[in-house]
Amino acid sequence: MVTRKKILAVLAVLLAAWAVWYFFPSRTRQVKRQFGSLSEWVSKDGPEGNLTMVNEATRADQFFAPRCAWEAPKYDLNGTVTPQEVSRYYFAGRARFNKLSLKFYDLDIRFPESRTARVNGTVRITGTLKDGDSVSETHEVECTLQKTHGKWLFSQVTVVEVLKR
Amino acid sequence: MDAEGWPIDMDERLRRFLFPSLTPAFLVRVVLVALCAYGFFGFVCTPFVIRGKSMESTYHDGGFDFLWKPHYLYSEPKRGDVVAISLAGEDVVYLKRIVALAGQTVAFKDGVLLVDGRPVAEPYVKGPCDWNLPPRTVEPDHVYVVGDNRSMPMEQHDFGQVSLHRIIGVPLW
Repeated sequence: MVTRKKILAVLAVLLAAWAVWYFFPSRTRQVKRQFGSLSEWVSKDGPEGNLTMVNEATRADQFFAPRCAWEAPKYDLNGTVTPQEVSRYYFAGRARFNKLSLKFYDLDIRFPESRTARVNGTVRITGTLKDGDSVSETHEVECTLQKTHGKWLFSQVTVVEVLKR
Repeated sequence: MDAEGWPIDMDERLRRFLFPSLTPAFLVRVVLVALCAYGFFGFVCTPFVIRGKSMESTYHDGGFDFLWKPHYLYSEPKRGDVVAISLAGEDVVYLKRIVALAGQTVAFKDGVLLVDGRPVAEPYVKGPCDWNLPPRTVEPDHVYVVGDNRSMPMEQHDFGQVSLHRIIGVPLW
């Protein structure tokens, strides 16, 4: 009986530790989760209806700050965009793909200020266009996220030019 | 031979090999082998899978290889080497071929690679190529890298000069 009580106590402690770990994530895990959520938001496994796409597109403000600075010389993308503009790019870009996958690797997360995160990572975008062509892009990115109303929002995204033509 | 010097038959040897006694010495050997394997395959000779077609037809999409990291410990990268280039880390890397070194000029004219104004024979390039790129000089401590697949449009191909410190090794084969 004593043994059973001890086992239950150990299980309870483990469960409590897991609950604290899961429900009160560290800042680093919160930022990593935001990257994971962004991946899920962008990726799609197959064709989807316009209504679904419109609904998804409106979630841009859950990921991007009211003004997010973009710098991607390779794509002639330089300037500041609002979540509404991101939604429009999302809709237009996503409509061209049958399958789309966005994944992040090697995330190095630092906190220069308590509500600011600087992240260096590698992003890989793969997909199949509606005409059957496949797309595969890999880039190093530097992102700045600001914590606003409990959410880490992207306020700056820079595509690092590793290979300079 | 067993402890008393009698020969051990094959069945017994096989049984001992497949089902070894969990002695402390055996466990130490297992831990040492595991640590060596982790160190070797994690930091010296890392397995990787090729994704993408920029190195066709030398390396194929889905191919498997090992990244040999000590290659440039005692030598410098040279023209023709296929190298792995790190991005933010080493989970995902570029695989490209060095076509020019620091101080050299690189250009493409009607698909032909020109280094210092002279055409370079590239037997590893298969298929048609119509790339045109004005000459540019490779900066100090940089090399110029291009994939072997020149049949894809130049705009879709990632190539250019890269800092030497990003070169982390070479594929084993």
